[in-house]
Order: sequence, then structure tokens, then C-alpha cells
Amino acid sequence: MVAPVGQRFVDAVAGSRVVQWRWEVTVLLWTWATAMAVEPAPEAPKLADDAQLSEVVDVAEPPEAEALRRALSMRHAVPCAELEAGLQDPVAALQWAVVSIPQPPWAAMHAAECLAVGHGDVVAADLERWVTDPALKGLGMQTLGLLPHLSEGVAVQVTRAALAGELADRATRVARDDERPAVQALLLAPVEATP
Amino acid sequence: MRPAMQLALVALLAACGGDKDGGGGKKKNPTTTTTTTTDTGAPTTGSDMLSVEVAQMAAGDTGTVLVEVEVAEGDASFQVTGSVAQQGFVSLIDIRAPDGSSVAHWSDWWSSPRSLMNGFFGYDPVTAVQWPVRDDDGPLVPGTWQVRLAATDADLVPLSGESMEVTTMVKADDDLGQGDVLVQIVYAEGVDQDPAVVAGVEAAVERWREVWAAYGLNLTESYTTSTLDPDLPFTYTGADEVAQLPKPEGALRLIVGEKIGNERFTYGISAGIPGTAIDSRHTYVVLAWLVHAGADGVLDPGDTSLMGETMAHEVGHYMGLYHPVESDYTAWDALSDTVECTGANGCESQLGSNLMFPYSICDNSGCVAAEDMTVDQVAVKQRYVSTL
Repeated sequence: MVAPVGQRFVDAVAGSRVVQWRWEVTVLLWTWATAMAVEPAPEAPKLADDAQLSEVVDVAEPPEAEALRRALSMRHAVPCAELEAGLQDPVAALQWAVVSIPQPPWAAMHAAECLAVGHGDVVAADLERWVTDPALKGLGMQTLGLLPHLSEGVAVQVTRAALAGELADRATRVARDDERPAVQALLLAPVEATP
Repeated sequence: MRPAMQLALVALLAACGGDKDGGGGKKKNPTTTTTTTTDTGAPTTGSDMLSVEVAQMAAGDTGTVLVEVEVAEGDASFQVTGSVAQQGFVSLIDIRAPDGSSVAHWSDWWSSPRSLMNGFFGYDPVTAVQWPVRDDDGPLVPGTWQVRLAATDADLVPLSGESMEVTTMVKADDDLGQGDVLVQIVYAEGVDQDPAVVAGVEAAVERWREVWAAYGLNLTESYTTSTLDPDLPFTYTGADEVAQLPKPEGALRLIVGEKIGNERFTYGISAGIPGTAIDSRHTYVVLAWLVHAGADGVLDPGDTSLMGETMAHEVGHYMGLYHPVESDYTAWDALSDTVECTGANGCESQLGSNLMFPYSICDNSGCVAAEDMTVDQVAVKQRYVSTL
């Protein structure tokens, strides 16, 4: 016996799937917050081998380290807002992740992306380092790709630094495409190479 | 999907798919068949054959089309792809066996915590329906199968009279223990200009091949370059440029770009679960190489191993596999031999090495190899219509 259409309508809506696939991106807000709350795993700080990375910040391990590592390891990444919702100090925790979670490779990249997009003004020095240090080329390339998401002041700072380094060609392309005159103007002035 | 859209789709599907046991959808749609059976010419084992038929159909008053699929002795599976104009959406209402019984109905899966296929949810203008999906679905008995699809607009209002191109592929396969899969790997513009990236991609493909080979899946890849934007901005919308790329019939397509421009939170995406085997704006898996290279931007052996597993994982989605458990541990695939775990520790210990596990388990020394597949997972891939 098939239930009346109206009843099935109500049932279907009331029981709609918790996880809806939209091109297989998964939304994890409440779970992430829960995981943050119940599964912290205190560990001794582990620094990446790359000294250039560990120079960036004081990399104290956050209380949410284990859950943060898990969330950053997702093949289909957790959006930054959801990541940060469970962090007591998002900037410090994400900075720790950039330097302390070498695997999988996308973990540090995603943490860096969240810093750039959400906290660019606070971590401008980090961004500048990423686009100039050859050992951090991946972070640098990603950061330049995020230029439209940076405030004008930070975008100018980052672009000016990148134009003097190994990513100059890429910096030129992204500056040319940027809509802000202050960023484009950097292409008109000669840039001295970094010693 | 927005709640309002869910309501509208539920209402639509209830209106046109409420009768699970009767023959409410048997009114024939106006149909023009434009193509007949062909052999793909793809490498095959035994007497494997893929038959393809394309028909132009018009949706009825409720926005539905009824597709009849002729299945012969020895056929192993079929795939029906419905395509409407770019502003429309196609969803699956139900599938009926030759005896008239409903074997898959939207209402059985709409609110289930288990996932069988994306077709029930009408996400895209191009939707592929694969049957059978699982061993549990039973063999494909000879006769006339019926697949009912619905066409809607962006607000999920039925599109009466909408023109829908329907492509039916039927696979004959006498050995579902071995399968050859043809994959076209497409470099977005400029990506193959960096020898280090090309070497990294090729190393990753070798890892992918290794993972699959252990389960009787033989990967045959070809490489091509393109002028596609390396930021892959078309990921969610599809692109005419993708549809225009020449592709061997039945081949899957993996597009390698630098990043996924309009979705910064992803490293690889499958355009469907399952995806279609036909040429279309939505025929692709995309992969972003840069995030796999990590902070130093170099694809070292550990990175390429993970990237190869990502390739196998995403193409696994395209061939019909879901994560065995979703990242919140409250939703699962519909397979009977993947554990239904409910927490991080249990899931990681039981499924952490599964190819389709949703995240990598790593410490500072490396990551758990994500390379295992269950019998049912392998069967889904072997049954995918272009696995020959």
C-alpha cells in the first residue's frame, strides 16, 4: 500500500538526507564542531623538517590539533568557516597546521589558504614569505592565485614581493588580471630583484 | 540543495513517481531514435561489447520521459543518460524490471542515510543512471526494462514537452572479474609545459594502475593536451569546451589542472556518481595538482602516490562508488560489505585503508595507503558500463 502523496511528501521532507551530495562536496559543520570538542589529542609539538616553514610563527600546538589534522586531511576539504568554528584561536591553530602537518600535502595548503582568505591582514608577513621563498613555492603559487581575496594593502605588499622573486612571471599575470589600480600599478614601476 | 528546492523536487517526484507498483508511467513519449548499436572499438576482454543508442525524446505533461531498454541474454549492465538544455535538470524517478516490478524508486533513497546513486536528486542537466549498481540488485534479466526520468527547470518545475536526449548504453560482459577501463587524461592549458608536473602526473597514474590491478581492473590511459583554463572554472557547470574535446567512445576523462578555481575547497571532483560514459559538458573528473604538491610545490614520490590514490578515488566516484562512510559518520554507501561504522576511531581502524575512505590518515612520517576495495566495491566498478 502506497501512502498518500501528501504524507509521503511530509515524510520525505522530514527525513531528508543529512548529507546531500552536491558534486560530492560534504558539509560538516556540526560534526566538525563536535569532533573538536570531544577528540582533542594532546601531543608534543611536531615541526616540519623545513626550517623555512618553522621560522614563520611560534608553532605551539593547539588543543584541537588532532581534530584539525583530521579535518585538513579530507580529500574534499572542509570550508574555512567550518574549520575555524571549532578553533579557540583560528589564526594560531592554522599557522601551526601550515608548519606542523606535512602530510597529506593538501593539509598545509588548505590551512594556508584559510589564513590568506580569512586573515590576510594579520598574516601578511607570512604571505610575503610564501611568495618569495623558493622552498615554499607551492604556498607561493597558491597565495598568488588568491590575490583577489586579499585586501588591497596586502595584495600590493604580496605582489610587490613576488615581482622581485622566482614567481615574478606568475605575479605579473595575476597583477594584470587584478581589478585594483594599486595592484596593476606595480607593473608600471621597475621592481628591484631581491638579493 | 536548498530546502525549497528539495520541497519542490519531492513534490514533483511524488506527483510523477508515486505509483511504485502500477504502470502509471507507461505512456510512451514521442521519440526519434537517431543512432543505432555500435561497437566502441575499445580494448576488451572476451566477447565484451558496448551497444549505444541515442534518442531524442519529448517530456510528457509531468515532465517525464519513459525510456525502454532492451536487454538480451549475456548483457551485464546498462546506463541511461538524460540530457536537457543547460538551464534544466534531469532526475531519476524509477527503474522497472521486465516483469513490471520497481527495482529502484526515488522515494526509497531520498531520505535514506545510504546512497545508491546521485540520479535521484536531479543535480544536473546531464544525469546518468547505471543499473544494476550492486550484487544485491540481482542479475540483469533479459527483456524490456523501463527507466523514468524527469526534466525540470532551475526551480524544479516540471518541463512539459522539454526535449531530452537519451543515450542508452548496454554492456555485454562475460567476465565481471576482469575489466579494461579506458581513460583519457587531459592536461589543462600550460600544465603539460612543466616537465616536473608531467612526470608527477605520470607517476601518479602508475600508482593508480597499481591500486586497480590488484582487483582485476586494467587501466589503459591516453594523454592529450587542451586549451582548458588550468583553474578549471567549469567544475560545477560543465563546459562546451569539454564536450568538444575528442574522446574515444566509452572512455572516461580525467582533466588535470592547477587548481579548481570556482571551488577552492576541493582537490578532485567527479561530475557524477555515477558519471556518464557519453560525450557531454559534464563528462569529467577533475584533479588539482598543486595542492597535491604541498608547500614546496614539488611532486615528490609521497605526493604522487597520494595523487594517484586521489585519481583512483575520484574515478571510483565516477564509476558509481560512494564513500563507505561519510565524514560525519552518519551516512554510508548502499553496499552490504562495507562496514557501517559510526565514529572516527572505529571508522579509521576498519576503513582507513579503503580507497574510498573520505580522508587520508597521516602522521608526520607518512600516510596510510588508501588502496583496499571490498568485493562489492570492485563489483560496482566492474559493472560500470564502459568497464569492458
